[in-house]
Amino acid sequence: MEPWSWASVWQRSRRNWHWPLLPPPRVALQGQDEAEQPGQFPFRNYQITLDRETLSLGPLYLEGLFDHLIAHYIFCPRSLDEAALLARSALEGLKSPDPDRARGLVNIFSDIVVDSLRLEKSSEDREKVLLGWRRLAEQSDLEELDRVVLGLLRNYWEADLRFSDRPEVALLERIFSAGFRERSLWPRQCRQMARILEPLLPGILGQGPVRCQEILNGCADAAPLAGAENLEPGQYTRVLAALGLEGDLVRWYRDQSYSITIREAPRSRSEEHPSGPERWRLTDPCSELDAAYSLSLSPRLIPGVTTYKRGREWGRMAPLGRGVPDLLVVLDSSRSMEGHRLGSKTHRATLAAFKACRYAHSKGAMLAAINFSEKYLAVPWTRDLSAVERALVEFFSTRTHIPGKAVRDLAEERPGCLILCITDTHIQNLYQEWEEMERAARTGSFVLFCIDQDYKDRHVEEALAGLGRVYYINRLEDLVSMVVEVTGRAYAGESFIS
Amino acid sequence: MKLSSFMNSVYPEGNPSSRIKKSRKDMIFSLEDLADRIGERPDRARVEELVGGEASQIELLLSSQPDKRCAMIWGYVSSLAAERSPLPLRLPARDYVGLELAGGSIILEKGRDHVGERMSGGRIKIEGAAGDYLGQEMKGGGIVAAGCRDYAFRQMKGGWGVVKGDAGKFLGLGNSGGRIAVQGSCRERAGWMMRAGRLFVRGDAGEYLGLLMSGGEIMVRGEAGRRAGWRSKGGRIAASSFGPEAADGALELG
Repeated sequence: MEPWSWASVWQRSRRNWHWPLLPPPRVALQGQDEAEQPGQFPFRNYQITLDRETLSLGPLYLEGLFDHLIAHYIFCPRSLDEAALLARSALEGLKSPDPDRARGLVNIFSDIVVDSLRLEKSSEDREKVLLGWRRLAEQSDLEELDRVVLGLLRNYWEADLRFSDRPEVALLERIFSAGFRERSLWPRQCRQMARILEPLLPGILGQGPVRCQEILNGCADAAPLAGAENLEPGQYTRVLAALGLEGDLVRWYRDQSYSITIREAPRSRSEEHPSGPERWRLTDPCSELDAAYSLSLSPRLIPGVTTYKRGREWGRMAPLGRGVPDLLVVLDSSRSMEGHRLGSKTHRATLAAFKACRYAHSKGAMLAAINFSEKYLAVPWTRDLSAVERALVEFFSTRTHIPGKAVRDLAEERPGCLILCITDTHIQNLYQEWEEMERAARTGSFVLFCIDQDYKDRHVEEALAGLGRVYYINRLEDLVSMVVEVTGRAYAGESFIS
Repeated sequence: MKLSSFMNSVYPEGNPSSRIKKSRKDMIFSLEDLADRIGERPDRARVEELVGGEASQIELLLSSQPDKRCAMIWGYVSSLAAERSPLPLRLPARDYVGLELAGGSIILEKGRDHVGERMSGGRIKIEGAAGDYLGQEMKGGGIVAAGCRDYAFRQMKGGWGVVKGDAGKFLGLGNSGGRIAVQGSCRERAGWMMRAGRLFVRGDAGEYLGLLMSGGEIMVRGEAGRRAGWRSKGGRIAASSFGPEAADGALELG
């Protein structure tokens, strides 16, 4: 028998899949040597990890395993977004949504999809694919879930596997008979599979982490998750938990704000700039004559013949750099703002504040934030965006008392700063704090977003108009776009700050 | 290059060695799946479009136990099944059986709520008693039930309904057409705000018979309760005897 190494099997698998860019596997040592692996990262998620038991199963099994893993990373679920979509579908299908069960179901679903792909696309791969499933079928401690999945594969692949004749097999077969390549079908298929398999959970199948590239590369914590804007905070946390990640309100808002774009208006300036030499004539001012250049071309200066001057042209040029105003966000988190849930005033206001902060931060501005209700939380001027975001997601849910002095103090520290105040204007101490607010508004540029149009008071409206720019938001959906527009104008386009 | 095109170019589809079973791609996996696809406001056209004509698919959907969210969709599927069946279709007792039925026949052992709602054709026979809202907003067709609870044939516009036993409250509320015959008695406020159509009760009727009615015809062979025809603006009420405070125009049969 020819000697073999797992490294050559890995290369063969990569060749089978057209050389995907994946980190090489590592062999996990067991026992005392486990902790000592010189020159290796201690993080297991940066590598595909093999153990001695897997290696002992021979090169064909190992190649099948590598092919299976590679297919996970390049086909299903492939990316964190796709994995999150499947996890969400699995959670929706479960009567009692549990992240661990959802993870198991995503793994089972993606296992079936990738092995069906391998099986369909290459007749030579059939033996390799079935090797792993036959090994599972031989285990003595199979649960009902595993038997049902094996029963499905037996019928679906026409494979010789131990099977179950439970009615769930036919229902699962119906799901997969619609095909497995169509990504748009996957959420429906996964959701339906969760409905069918929920009573049979758990089993041997489906254990381990969800296989997607971001998790493999260790960057899943920082990768934005598409679709967060359709999930309630609780759902979002459960989806991330199913992927083995930790989700919180800050990440929820951050992931939603990525998809909001601030369109930067192109700016330019028109200015005169020097161009090539032109003939100097007697009618031109003497000061324009470039004597050195003219003499370099001819030893005699003959006006209009051997005399030259520098030509000048008008044209559009890149704008000059200009200072950006620092940003102070004053956010209302009183009870009337309704709290952190999709579509609430707090949700829209915090999302708008997040986007404004992130954009101002990217432009080099310093940030400060005040989150107020009856008490308040203030973050002094900083470049630490996370600190500001953490302060903004606090929800006090008490009465509305604007901390005028704190706003004034922060504004006076950075004269000319942009003050974005987002509130539903049920401010109970507005007149007590009026002087402070006026002084703060004089120091910086005050922009107020009043969410609750119905409670608009004519006297308050007139008073507020004296502070600076006031926007009354009729439809809550407009708040984010209004704040984004104002921020975009302050930092990117023509400044409205006069 | 898209991943799918890459995969297809590397491994072209239609490999003769493939032994994977396939069927049409737009199939419905279950009633919940159909509900997910339809969204929060189901309508008959959308259900018809998604379910298609495959008999096995309709059979699978009919065999499932609908939850509250899927009840209306199950009702639409029951109508589609009845319309396509050459023989009368016997179905289990569920809400919304025969919803917007346009043809065919359905036989139920017992009726639940909203049976035959918005139906425009066909027949429904309920061997036992029906629940609330029997034949609500029906425009055509006919329903025969052994009995029914409240709001039967509410806002009926056409068709006919026969109740072999007793009917509950608010029978024929707001009707603007159709014919109703009750062989037993009915409870209060039958024919309330009736504008057109006919209501016949062989037994007795409860109080406020024909309350605020503006058209149509009500005939009660037995006794009508108090305040029959109260504040009515038109129509005709006849009964063998009336309770106190009956409207002036109410006709007493001999």
